[in-house]
Amino acid sequence: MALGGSAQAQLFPDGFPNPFRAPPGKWFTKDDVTTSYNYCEICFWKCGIQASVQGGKVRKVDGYESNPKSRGMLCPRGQGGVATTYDPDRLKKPLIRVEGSERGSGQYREASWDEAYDYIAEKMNQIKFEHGSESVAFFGHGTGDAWFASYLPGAWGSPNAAKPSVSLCTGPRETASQYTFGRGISGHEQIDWDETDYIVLIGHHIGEDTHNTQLQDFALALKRGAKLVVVDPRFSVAASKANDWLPIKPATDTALLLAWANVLVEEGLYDAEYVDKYTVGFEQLAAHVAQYTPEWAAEITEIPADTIRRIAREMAAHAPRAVLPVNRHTVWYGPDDMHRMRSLYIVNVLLGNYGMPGGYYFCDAPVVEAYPHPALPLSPASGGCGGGSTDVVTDSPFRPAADRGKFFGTATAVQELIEPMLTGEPYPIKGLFSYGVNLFHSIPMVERTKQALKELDLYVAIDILPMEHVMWADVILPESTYLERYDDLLLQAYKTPFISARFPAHPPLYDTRGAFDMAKQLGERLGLGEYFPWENVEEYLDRRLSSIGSSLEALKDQGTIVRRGRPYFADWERLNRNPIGTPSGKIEIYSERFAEAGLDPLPVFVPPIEGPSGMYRLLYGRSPVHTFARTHNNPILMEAHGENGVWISTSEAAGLGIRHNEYVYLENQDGVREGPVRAYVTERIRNDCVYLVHGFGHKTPLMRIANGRGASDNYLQTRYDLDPVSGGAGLRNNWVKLVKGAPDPQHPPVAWLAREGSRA
Amino acid sequence: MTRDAATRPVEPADVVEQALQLVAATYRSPDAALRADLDSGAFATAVAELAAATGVAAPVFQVTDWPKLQTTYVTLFVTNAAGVPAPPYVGLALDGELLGPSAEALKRFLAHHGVETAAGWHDLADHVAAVAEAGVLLAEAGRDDAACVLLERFLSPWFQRYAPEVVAADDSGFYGPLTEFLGSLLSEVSCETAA
Repeated sequence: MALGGSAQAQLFPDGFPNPFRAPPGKWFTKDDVTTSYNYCEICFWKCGIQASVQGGKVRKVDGYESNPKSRGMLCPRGQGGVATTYDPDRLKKPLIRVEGSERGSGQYREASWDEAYDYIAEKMNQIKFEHGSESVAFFGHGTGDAWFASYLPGAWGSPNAAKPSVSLCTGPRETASQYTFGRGISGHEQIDWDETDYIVLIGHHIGEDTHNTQLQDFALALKRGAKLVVVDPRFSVAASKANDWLPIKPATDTALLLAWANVLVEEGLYDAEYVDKYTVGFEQLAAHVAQYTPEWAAEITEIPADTIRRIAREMAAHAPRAVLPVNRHTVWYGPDDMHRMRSLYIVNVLLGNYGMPGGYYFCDAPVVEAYPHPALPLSPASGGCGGGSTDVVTDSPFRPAADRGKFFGTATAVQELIEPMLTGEPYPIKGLFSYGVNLFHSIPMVERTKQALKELDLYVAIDILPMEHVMWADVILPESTYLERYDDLLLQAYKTPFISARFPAHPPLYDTRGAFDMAKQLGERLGLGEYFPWENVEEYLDRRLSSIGSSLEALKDQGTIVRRGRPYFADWERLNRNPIGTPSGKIEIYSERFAEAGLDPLPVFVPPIEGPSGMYRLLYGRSPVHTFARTHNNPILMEAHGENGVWISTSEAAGLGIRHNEYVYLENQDGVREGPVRAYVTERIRNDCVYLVHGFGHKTPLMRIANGRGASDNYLQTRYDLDPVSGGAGLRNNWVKLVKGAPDPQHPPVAWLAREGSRA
Repeated sequence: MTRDAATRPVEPADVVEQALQLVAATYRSPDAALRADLDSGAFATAVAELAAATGVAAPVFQVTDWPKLQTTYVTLFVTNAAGVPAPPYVGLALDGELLGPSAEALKRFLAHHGVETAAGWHDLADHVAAVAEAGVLLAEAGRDDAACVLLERFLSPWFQRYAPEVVAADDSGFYGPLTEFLGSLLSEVSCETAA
């Protein structure tokens, strides 16, 4: 018998090596273990880790001492994230949707990388010919988004590059920070936890939204005796540690902040010397906040006026070592989200803590020269957690991003690029790259997104797991995991800025590649080779590191290079430099730029949008062991938190006849139904809202562990309210009712699913 | 490379090697070589020979739609919106875990016998097709005993675990009948028979 085909195995010509190996078993010695430095990709905190490999498999990851974002410790997500690399459901090979099959029907054939690249390049060029290069949009999230949501679109010529981490997350805080301080938050919340004595968290879920060293610092501050106030409609984990919990009426936070500003000003408790030296616009603020008395705010927020006054006085008594930390996810209610963040910054400024010990410190990313390349045709304003977006230059030959004119800010709003796919206005978007963005679990109005995908001429999904949206793509490009690939340098703004690198712990398991390689290969096929002049990723990294007198080899042994920071005003003043980047060179309490644009130059309170009678405002938050909707097929993490529940107050549940742990459906104001989901009946939430942990409720059987567990907040977000300043999508103006009669889904144990799958 | 269309008896000693060769040909990603073997009739002949040699009923299969075969391969073994019915990894069948103890044992076994995966192989070393090809190489090198171990200890359990899933999910008319046939065949073939 002789069948064709080439054998994939080869004999050692020199005979059989080492026939005396130990029998297979669980035991191995230290000598069998190799380690490599990396930074974790399971969440955006990007902790420095060391991966330990034995037998070609990563057995363990650990934080390491010299990395400022892990300090030798790692959270459950980081520890459990390793399982993703060995998930049998991973994407393994490039796939092309079968010609003529319907998007979403999941009919694919394998393709070589060359074929996949050629296919994409041909389609992109066709779209460019018919509609212009701007008609290809790029969405990205994760380390590789620098290539797919910035660099490649910049080289290709599309301003329609966007990240959900902006307009669906940090947009309001970044815009507010840029226009108040002339600098962004920069992807790292620069709270001087080591020095602070009084902490006021507003909707900030530390302990649930776990960021390794932030949580370490927070815990140490409390241990040191710092006082904690938590403002939240829900008695969160952080609230359980607080001296005061203020169960505020949802969507009224700006009123509370303005009232605190009122007390600080009216009672002369603000830091007058600081305000005089570092700010402009205090006089206008003083006049503006005179109307916002604690009594006024009490009516709105349902927090007693006496409490509002007391907390303001306590903050002042501890100033400048009293701080209201900025949170990350700030797209809450829409119209006043940016104002809320400005209010929060201004209260901090009145306490004199910005750039001072115990408040906010300054942090900038370390400078490492870019690899020399020709200037890109444009610089897409995809932004990112770090903000600092730039707009398309005015004399650009390219059309502006398709969301321009809908709001004031410049960072492109991902949710605003969906409509042009459907309507062709202001011009059609006919192609889409989705790099690591779960389109159906991050962008509101999921059905609209699905309809939009049907209208595209090209949809490319780059991912690691077959998330729901991936199976709608024309071409699926499987990415190697963070444990298998190099990536660009991590240049981390921090109190002590630092540089980290990612080294593969072992070769990719399947026919997968990193974003770096994909972008270069695609770029070359698109005729953009001049923008990708490096030989390979190692040469690219080594060249960049040489600009600071280091090398890839050196970083391989070191993992992280830590720099000295300039955290406080005093550090800058010693060098006669000013960290404030506003036009006035001062902290702009009053914004002339907003005034010139016809916007409110001082923060204003916008009354909340009220929901239908008998429904509850849907709030959402995070799980300490999950990241977005990414980690829900990870058996280790799902063992720790396997489904979400809907929090509802005890009295409301009693009125509805709903028992604790009973399965219910959630139905929103537009009749969209989610669940079954457990009712979590508790005293820990107000009567006018319910709460879900985000990221659950996956709907693809291929995600065999995640599938059908819990409810998706995103599917219930069938409306949003645009922040007219930042472009953020306020997501918490959706309402739900709880519907009895949902069956118990009787989920099989996660461990069984992990081992046996859903097929048995 | 193709074979003569005429069926000829398979020597008992060759059964293991030829069974491994058929497994390798069936579960590799459908490529030009498989297509050529199908078009030339070499594949069907090889199946018939093995059926005759072992007494296992020959499967009825046909491939009239090549793109359909490629799509089915993806949905059965690579990526599928409804869940991959039969992940093609022998270690997963044995341990319920990728790169677990069985995959490691296989790696050591192959290393012991001087076999390693080639640079162009972009999948796990315990992929059914790779294991079968390793067995073919060992058999060709006269290591029938080692080839038998691969067949019995690693490949057969995969068929026991996943053959019903392939049969149930196949809509190509190829993988289901072939998997059922090969599963039966492997359960009939033993190292003692081959020896």
